[in-house]
Amino acid sequence: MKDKFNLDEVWDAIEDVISSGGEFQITPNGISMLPLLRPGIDTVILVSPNEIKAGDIVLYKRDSGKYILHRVMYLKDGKYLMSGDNQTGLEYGVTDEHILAKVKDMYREGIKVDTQNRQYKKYVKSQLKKGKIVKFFDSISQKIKRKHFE
Amino acid sequence: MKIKEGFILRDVADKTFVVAVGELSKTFNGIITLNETGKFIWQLLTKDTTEEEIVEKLLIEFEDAQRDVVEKDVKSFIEKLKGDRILEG
Repeated sequence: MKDKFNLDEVWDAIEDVISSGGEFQITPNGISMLPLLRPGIDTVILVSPNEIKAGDIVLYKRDSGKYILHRVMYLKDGKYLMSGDNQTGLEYGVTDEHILAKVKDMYREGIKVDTQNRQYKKYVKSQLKKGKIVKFFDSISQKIKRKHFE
Repeated sequence: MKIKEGFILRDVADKTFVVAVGELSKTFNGIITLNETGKFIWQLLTKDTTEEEIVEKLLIEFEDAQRDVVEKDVKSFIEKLKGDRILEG
């Protein structure tokens, strides 16, 4: 039995599952969603990406072809601002076309994460705040760049 | 016996995958990969059939195959499917 697979290879099959209204569990391998999701240990349940809002974790495919599982900071003008929980940088320009699935539930070492509890909500709030802070500094550096080149 | 409702087969490049969709996906998580023979047997199992019928059809499809080897392999494949609760009847 094969334990690891390349998402690229099997995505079409997984899409059949989630577009049928079903769900599919994967164990992500990256470190960008630490401390919440530990690579190779914790799992997420993927469902069809309907009604995405800030704070949701989604799976998307960059134009480069890479599959990414990150959190939505916010949505503006049809574009999502994304960031991994373990990252300080923001990714701009992700659209509905890039997004493949949404995370419905998470399991840390087999135990379901209670996304309704106060602790988790506080954690998400601080992640979203990070997004606002980074966006603030980004906009300042944009202004400085513009001024510099005028 | 036959495959339960809710599994679908999908060919991707030179591979064949099977996944559980809809409600079944909540209890059956995983991707089954089938080779050419596996796919042939799976497709036979989409209709009610028996181990003997599968063996006979395989012997017709793969002329050079030996009966005892085919019987053993089919039995093993069916047992695997039963073990993963993929079959009914």
